[in-house]
Amino acid sequence: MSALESPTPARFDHVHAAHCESGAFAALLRHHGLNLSEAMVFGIGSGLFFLYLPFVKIYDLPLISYRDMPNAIIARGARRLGVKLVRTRYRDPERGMRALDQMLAIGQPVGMQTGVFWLPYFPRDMRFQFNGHHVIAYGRQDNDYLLSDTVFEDVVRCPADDLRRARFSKGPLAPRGLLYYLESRAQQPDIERAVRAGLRTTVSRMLNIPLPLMGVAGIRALAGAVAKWPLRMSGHAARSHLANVIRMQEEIGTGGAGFRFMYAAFLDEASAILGRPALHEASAMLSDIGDRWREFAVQGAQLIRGDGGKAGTAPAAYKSLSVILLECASREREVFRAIGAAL
Amino acid sequence: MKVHQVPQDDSILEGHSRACYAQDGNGQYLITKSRGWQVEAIANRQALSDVEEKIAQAARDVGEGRASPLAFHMACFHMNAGLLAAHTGIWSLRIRRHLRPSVFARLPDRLLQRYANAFGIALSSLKRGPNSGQEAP
Repeated sequence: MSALESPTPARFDHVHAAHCESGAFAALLRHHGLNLSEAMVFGIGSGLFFLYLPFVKIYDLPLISYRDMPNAIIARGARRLGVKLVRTRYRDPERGMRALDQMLAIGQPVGMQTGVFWLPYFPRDMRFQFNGHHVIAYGRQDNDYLLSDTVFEDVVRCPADDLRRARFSKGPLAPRGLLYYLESRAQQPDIERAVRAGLRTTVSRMLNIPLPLMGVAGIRALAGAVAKWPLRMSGHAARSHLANVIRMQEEIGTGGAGFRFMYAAFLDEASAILGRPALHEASAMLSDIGDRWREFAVQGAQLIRGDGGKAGTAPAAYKSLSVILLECASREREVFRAIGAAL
Repeated sequence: MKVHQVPQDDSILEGHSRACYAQDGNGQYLITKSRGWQVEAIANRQALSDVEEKIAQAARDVGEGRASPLAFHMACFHMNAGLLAAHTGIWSLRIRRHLRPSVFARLPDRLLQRYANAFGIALSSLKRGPNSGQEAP
């Protein structure tokens, strides 16, 4: 592989963010002169969601997500902000790496989709097989790529071989070397319209999908399942299922409470932009709901660690977790109805 | 969550910190740094203990001749036959056969190299399995 060096020592304005995809996209927009907070990008891209697919197993555990499909935030955000993105996937890893080098050589920072397991700069305990991680490359020095991974406080370096492995990781959500960068953008994007569109999509996806596993109905479905776990499987398996939910909510970079706090921050900004005090109230409501999600995580962790009582009381403990989830579901339904009414 | 409630526990972040959204005294949202949260550490430990148990089980199976070294490496890289099939292009039924020590022992280096490449380890480590000192990266 020919090592194309960047002409000047590359610099990139790194900003610490909570979530990889919205953080990376916000960073690229900022680099091209459009200054929006991560929360705004998340909201305009309709990032908030809930999904529970018990029949899709990832390493034996059901698929749970507190946000929409990977790449959806970027796709919607770009459309609504009048941004033209070039997005390319590669079959051949060598070609994919060459394309990256060429972009870096002309000083173009590039967003990439990667598999976390193969990124050596991640804390060891956080390296699991997950292929939806977004990170920006902004330069190359010798054999190392210079990366702005927004979930880290500072820029990081990654050896070429590891980055190639991460970009061409296989399995669910395989990145297939995805690269993306800004080709052009509208000079005066209509932020009000973008915010309204973002809100509308999220309201509709949280409330109106006629499948009982998505949106508010998905939270209710999870609540039902949580109550049954201790009756249907071994104590250990039930604890692993519960831990999986907590990890999706807190560990993978959600800004806390499974993106609910970040979305509350967006609602606050949206309220000011659209001049709708009702959205500020919705933000306060969602903050309170986020606190309940955190309480769910705290009680769940106590149950996993085993200081919530003896094995005989486990079904009761799972039941009370289930009650918290039901409460989150019905309160989120209220919030999104209120948002819908305010638009 | 208020800024003063953002947890600063010893956790899994190895000295890094993550960005959390929390409200200041006026209810304004800010991005605040968190060194980690005990709750996430407990959930993470539960998940890792499952992985570690699979690795330990695979090591025992290899040691006692019930499974080939491939089973051990697969566990180390958090993979099952389906995921390894996606990484190597080898059918998962065939991979399952390669988990049998007698079948694995007869495999040509050319095929073994495909496994080694997928894991990013040396062919010799792939053949040695748990005794190679080879851990997940």
